[in-house]
Amino acid sequence: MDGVDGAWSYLSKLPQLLNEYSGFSYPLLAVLSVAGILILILHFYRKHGGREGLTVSAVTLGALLLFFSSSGLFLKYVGSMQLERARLAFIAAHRVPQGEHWLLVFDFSLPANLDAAMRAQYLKRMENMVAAMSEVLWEDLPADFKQPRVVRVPTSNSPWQEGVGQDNFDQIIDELNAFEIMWGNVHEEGDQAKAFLGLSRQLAKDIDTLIPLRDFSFTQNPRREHQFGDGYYRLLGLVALGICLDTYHRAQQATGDERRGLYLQALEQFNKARELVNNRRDDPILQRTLYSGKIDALIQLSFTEAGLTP
Amino acid sequence: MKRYARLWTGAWLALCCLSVARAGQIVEVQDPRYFESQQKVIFPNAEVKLVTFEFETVGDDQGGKQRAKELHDQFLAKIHDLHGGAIITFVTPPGQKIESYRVQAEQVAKQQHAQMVLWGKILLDRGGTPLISARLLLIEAPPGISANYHGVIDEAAVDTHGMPVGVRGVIDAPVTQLRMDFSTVENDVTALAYYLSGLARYYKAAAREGSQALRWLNSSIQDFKAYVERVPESADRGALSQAHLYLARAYVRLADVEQARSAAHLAVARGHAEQSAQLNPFDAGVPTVQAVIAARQGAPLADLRTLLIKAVSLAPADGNARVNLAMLSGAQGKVSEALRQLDNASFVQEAQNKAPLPSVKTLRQQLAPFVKTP
Repeated sequence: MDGVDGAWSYLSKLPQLLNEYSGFSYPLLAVLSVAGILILILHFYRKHGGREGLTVSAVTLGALLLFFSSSGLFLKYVGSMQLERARLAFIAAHRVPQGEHWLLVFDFSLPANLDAAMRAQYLKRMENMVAAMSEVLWEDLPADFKQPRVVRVPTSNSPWQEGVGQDNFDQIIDELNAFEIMWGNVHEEGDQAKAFLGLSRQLAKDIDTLIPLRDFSFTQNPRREHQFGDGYYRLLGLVALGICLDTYHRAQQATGDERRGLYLQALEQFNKARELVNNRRDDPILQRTLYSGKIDALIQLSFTEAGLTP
Repeated sequence: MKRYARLWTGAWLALCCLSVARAGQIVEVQDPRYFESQQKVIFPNAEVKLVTFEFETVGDDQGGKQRAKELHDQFLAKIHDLHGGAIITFVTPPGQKIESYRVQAEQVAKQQHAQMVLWGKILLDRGGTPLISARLLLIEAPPGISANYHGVIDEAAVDTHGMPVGVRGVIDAPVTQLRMDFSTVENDVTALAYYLSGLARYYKAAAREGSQALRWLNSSIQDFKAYVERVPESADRGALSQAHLYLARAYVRLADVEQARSAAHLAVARGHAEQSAQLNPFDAGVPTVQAVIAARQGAPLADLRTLLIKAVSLAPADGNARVNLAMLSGAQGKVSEALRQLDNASFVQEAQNKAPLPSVKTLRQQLAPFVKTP
């Protein structure tokens, strides 16, 4: 019975060992495989030459090394294929259709020490925040702007499990074909949140593309900040700016009368966006973006390109 | 006899009160589908009608009804002497909210033949202070202002004729800002009521000529000034800029009515227009109003040109602004420049699928004799 118990104990440890090996890097697994192969070759070479082979324990070691490392390589490869498939499926599900404007809001990173109930509560707040933002854009973005959709992206299922940040936001914008994305962190105390807005670098070549928004209370009704507070103006102004830049970008790529028409539309949108958030035109973030000299230059260029200089 | 006289006077007073009360109606809508069907027009003979809705609220708060009724009462009190002025406020019964009804504010206002419609939201702050965010849409803009000017194209400018030509031009400054998003205010709808009353009085005044307009212009000015005094500059530049712009328009109209004091009124109008420009440098309507005032004050055409160019820069898709500039270019003898602006005016109308402006064709015909042939 002891033998059976021992074998059973080994078998139950097998998946754990395989899992452990699949976590090693490809070069390490390759080195281990080569080591196992070399031990076995040496053993068979000696036997083939009429000499005594290696000891049983050395051969077992070689065979186990080869088994575990090659299995690890296989499992790692299969795992990476599955991850890639999941990544592609996620991107396909969240990728913005061509010609549409979506503002993607990634779930904010939450403090680590949260229990399930608190986590659920925070996610509910995320949902309310996205709804409040949608309402603002739906009601207050002028008719000259094509209405963007505000879509919440669950970070936990995304390929960007480590979160969104300054290193990867532009890659995410590209992969998801978004014109703007929003992400943030909830502070450790849990009542304040810091949010960021990322503009596509392709659209906004000369202006800040990573824009820190105001810290706001994450425990209060999100409408307080986004419909009645200062966050209202930044949200409205920066989303409008994203749409303006998109129109400008499309104008650059168009030809003939369509080009002229798109430059005219971009001009109208730039001016409307500035007028829209005039009440907070001194805001430092809006000064650096919507009211910056670089946007003045784009306006001048649009007038010239459209042949509509006054 | 005395007793009958008292009765007679009392009856008249009651009738007056009744007629005032009839200028406002709070409609409690019980059927959630009410707004989907054709409604009966309330106050069909009203000259200036404002439609308002219960403010949307969050959670169980019922304060939106209360604030809407407060605004209704305050507006009604302020327009007590404005014959033909009316307000209709739609609210839902206790326990219900307007958000559950399929309300299209603009559509309801059009059905009611109203000139203005107002709606908004309320959020109770942690301290229980209501934050009020209101939106105003003008269904039918009130008349703007305009100015005629004279110019002489000298012979150097018009080679084909070889002699000076006297020209008359006009600058048209219609009201183009149809939507007003008021900044969030705490607790109080008084300032809002002043703005709305000033606007209602401006509507009434602008539809009248001469001394008939005087009373309404003065009271419109009073109300807009009361609004401007109540709202700090940092609170709502956009709405303050518009209030100053209406004040400027009212003073320009006053200058027409009281010609003996025309210069003084125009000077005040100019001051308000400058304040408006300072508060909102992105409103294309402001430089055009400034150009109208400057033209009435006899400013040189070059000064008018600077203002009209600014108007076009701020509203590149506004065909009317380009026609104003084209006409001025024509008056300055810059015929090819005027024709270029007319081409652009046609293009912007077409690009936005709007009908061609009749004034483009007329002006082109007027300029035709001055076009130099190569």
